[in-house]
Amino acid sequence: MSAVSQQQTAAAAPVALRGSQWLRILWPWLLALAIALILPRVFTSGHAITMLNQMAVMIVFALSYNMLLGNTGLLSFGHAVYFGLGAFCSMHVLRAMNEGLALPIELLPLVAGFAGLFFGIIFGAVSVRRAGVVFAMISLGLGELVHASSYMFTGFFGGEAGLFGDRDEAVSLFGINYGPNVTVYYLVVVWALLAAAAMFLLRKTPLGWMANAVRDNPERAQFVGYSPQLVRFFQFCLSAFFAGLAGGLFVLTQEIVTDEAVGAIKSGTVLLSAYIGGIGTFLGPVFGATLVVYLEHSLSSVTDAWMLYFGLLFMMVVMFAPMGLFGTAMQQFAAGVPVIGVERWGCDCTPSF
Amino acid sequence: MSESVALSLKGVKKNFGRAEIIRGVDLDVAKNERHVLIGPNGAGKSTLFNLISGRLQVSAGSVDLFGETISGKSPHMINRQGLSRSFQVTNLFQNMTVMENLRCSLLWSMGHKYAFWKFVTKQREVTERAEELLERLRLTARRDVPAGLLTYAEQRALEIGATMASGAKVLLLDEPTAGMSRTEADEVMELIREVTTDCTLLMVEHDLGVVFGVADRISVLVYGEVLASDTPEAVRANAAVQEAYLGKEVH
Repeated sequence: MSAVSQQQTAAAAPVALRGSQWLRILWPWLLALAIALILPRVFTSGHAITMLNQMAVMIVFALSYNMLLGNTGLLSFGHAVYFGLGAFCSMHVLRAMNEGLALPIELLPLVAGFAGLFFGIIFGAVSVRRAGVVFAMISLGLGELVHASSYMFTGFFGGEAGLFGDRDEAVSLFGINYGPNVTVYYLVVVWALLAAAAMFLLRKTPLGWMANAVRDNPERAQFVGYSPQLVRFFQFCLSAFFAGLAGGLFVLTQEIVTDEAVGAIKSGTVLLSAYIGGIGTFLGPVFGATLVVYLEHSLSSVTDAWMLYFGLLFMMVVMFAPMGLFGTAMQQFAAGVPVIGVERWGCDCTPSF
Repeated sequence: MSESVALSLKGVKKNFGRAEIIRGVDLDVAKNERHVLIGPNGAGKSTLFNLISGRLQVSAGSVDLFGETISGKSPHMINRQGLSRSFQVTNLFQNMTVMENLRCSLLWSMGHKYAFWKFVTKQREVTERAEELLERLRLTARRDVPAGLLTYAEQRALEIGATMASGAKVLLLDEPTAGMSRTEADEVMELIREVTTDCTLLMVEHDLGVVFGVADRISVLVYGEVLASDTPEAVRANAAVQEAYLGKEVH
C-alpha cells in the first residue's frame, strides 16, 4: 500500500466504504456462505443433509443463547422455551398454510421469531430483575412450567405425538417446492446467516455495549444512567426472538415438533453447545453447536453410552478450557499471531454471580 | 432555598435495624462548590454517600438535587438528573478498554439509550467527547488498555472521567486518593481540580493535607451528625472539631 492510496482511503471513508473495505468487513460472511453452499455438494447423503440442517438450526439457537450468557452474563436453564414456543406457533401457522393460508413459507421463521419475542417479553419481564442464581432459578422454573403445560394443553402442543406440518404444501415467494431436504437447507442457510449477522451487529450497538457493561458491573452501569434490569430485558427479548426464529427453522427442517422442543434437555444442549465452543467469542457457539450436533449423530451411532462421553467432554472443557474449545484455540493463536477479523472485546468473560 | 444550592440534605436519617448510623444530617452544597466531608472512621461518611446516590434508601428526611427530591429514586434515575459518584474501591468496567469505558459512560447522557439499531463506534460525537476526555485525563496513550490493567492512579483518573462523562453536574467522590502515595495523591487532586471546574463536588477524604488544599467548605461528620460546616480556616479553628476529630492531628 502506498501512502497515496491510504490517503484516498482516509478521504473516502466518511462518504462511503470502498469496495476493498467492504470486502475486509464481509469476508468472514462470504466465507461462511461459501462453506454452507459447498457442504451439501460434498456430503450428499440424506443423513448428512439432515445433519447440516440441524447444525444450521443449532447455530442460530446457540448464538441466541450466547446473547444472554456471553454478552449479558445471564445463565439460563430454560432457553428452549422460546425455541419451542416459536416452533409450536410456527407449526400452527404452517398447518394453516397447509389449509390454504396464503403466507409464503419463506417467512415462517419470522413468524416463529415474533412468537419467541412475544413470550420473551412476557417471561422476560418476570425474570430479569436479578442476574446470577436468581435468574438461573427463574429460568429453570419457567422451563419446567412450559414443559409441564405441553402435557396439559394438548390442543396447542399436540400431546405426546407432537404436531406435524407439510412444508411443500404452502405458497412460496419464488415458486420453489421445498419438499427435498437439500432445497430447504438453502432456505435455512439464508435465514441462519441473516440471523447470525443481525446478532453479530447487535454486539456493536449501544444496547450490546451496555449488555457487556451490565454483565461486568451492574452497579457502575447504573451510575452512568442505565437500568441494568432494562438492559437485561431488552437483550432477553431479542435473544428470545432469535431463539424463536431457530425454532421456526427447526419446523421447516423437521416438519414435526414435540414437547422435547421446549424441554430441559433442549435447554441443556444449547447451554453445552455455547459453552463447549466458548461463550467469550462470537464464533464460539457456532463452533460448539456444529460440534455438538456432529457428536450427537456420530457418537450415538457408535455407542449407546454417547451421553456419557459427551458429559465427560463437557466436564473437561469446563475444567481445562473454560474459554471453550474455540475460545482457547483463539487465545493460543492470538498469543503468537495478530488476529484479523476476530473480535477482541468480549473475549473475556465467564458470567459472574 | 436559593437557586444556588445544588445539593441539599434535610434531616436525613438512616438506621440499620436499631443501629442509627446517620442521625439527622442537614447539609447544603452550593453550585460549583468543592465541598469536603471529613470525619473519623465509622462516622457514616460512606453511608451518607450511599444515601445521596440512591444505593441505600433514607429512613427519614429528604435529599434534594437542584430543588428536586431524589431520595427514594433508583441510582440510574438519580444519575439521569445530574448526579454521579465514584467509589471507594475502584469501580470500572474492568474488561473494557479505557476508551470503551468512556464511551459507555457517555452513551446515556448523549441520548443513545437502549438503541439496538446503531453502532457505538459510528457515533462521532461520542467518539469526540471521549477523546477529549482522554486528553484531559492524560490517558490518551493508554486508550486501548483494558481498565483492569491500568495503574491505580490511572484507574482513579478514569473513574473520575467516567463519572464526569455521564453528564453529571454534581459529583460525589469517595476517597479519590485512598491508598496513594503523596505524589500520586497530589496529581489526582490536581486533575480533579482541573476537570471539575464547572461541577459541584462533594468529596470524602481522609488525607487532611489534601483536604485543606482543595475544599471551599468542609463539613465534619461525627457519629452520624454534622458537627461543623464551614470554610477550611473556620473548621480548623473550631474547638469542637478539634476535640472530636482533629485534636491529635493538628499541632
